[in-house]
Amino acid sequence: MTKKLLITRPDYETTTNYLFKWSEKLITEANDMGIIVDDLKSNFANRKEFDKKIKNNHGFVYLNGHGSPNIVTGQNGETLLKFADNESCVKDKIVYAMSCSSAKRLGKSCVASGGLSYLGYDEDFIFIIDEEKINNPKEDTLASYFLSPSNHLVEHLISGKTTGEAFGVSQSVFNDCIKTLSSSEASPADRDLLPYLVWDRDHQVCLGKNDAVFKETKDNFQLINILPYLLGFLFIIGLALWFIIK
Amino acid sequence: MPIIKKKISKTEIRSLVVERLKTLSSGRRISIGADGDFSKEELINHVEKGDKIGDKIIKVQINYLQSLKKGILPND
Repeated sequence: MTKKLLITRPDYETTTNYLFKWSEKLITEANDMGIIVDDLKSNFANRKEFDKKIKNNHGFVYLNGHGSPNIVTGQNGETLLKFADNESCVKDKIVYAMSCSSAKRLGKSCVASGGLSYLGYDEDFIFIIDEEKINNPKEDTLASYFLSPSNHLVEHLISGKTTGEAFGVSQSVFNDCIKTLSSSEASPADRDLLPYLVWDRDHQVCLGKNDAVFKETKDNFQLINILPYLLGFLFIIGLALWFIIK
Repeated sequence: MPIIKKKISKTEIRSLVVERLKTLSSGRRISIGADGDFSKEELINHVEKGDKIGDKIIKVQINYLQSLKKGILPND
């Protein structure tokens, strides 16, 4: 029994590159906690790999990429999860979609199909980028106001908090950022961020169960895992038979 | 004195949003999901044209102005 996380991280233009880079830290943290991470990054964030990996009984599916009310996409906009198509693959799982609008219809449908919780955004996720940091997203302090609430959500989920608690923490981080940027010490340039931060906060949702927890799940039986032992056993039996016959 | 509510036209809202966007600091880009990322000038252009991206920005700005009225933080 192990905790298993499936993460998709396309990386083909500015926005996906920011999400790709900002999720690296979370993978390290998950690994440090002993969580098995299936990381579908860049070209591996495709439908074929997603369909294959999703069968591995993950407790938590964390999707990064573009989205719309009906879909969440992977590399080069390839659809990974789609309304009225493959929602049943997230049955009994927690899903967090760091993508635009997917909670509007797809998220509801995932929960209706047996998903425990679907966290995400029911409108576009908008964030501001510092042009000077575009090649170094992790050092972009402007983007950090938008992406750190998202990272806090994932950190709390992987550390064992409920979906409701993780959502609450993320909302609090949004509010802290809004408070900082609307204070009298904030510069007019800082205040530029406020309409977009308020928008993202207002459209972040937690659908389904509020008390779902990222739990350990059973390892799927796969022939490939026992194949070396099986071959060894057959070799010994064969050898024994050969001696007996001889 | 009764409060007289004047309905604001779409053109007036668009002008208001354009004026707000003009104050945006330069050297920044706004990422709007799959639509891409945009400079201040590009956003102003979209709002003035009244296209899909422009309408999204108008929604964001109106949401903010409305939230200022009721308080942008939960305990305001």
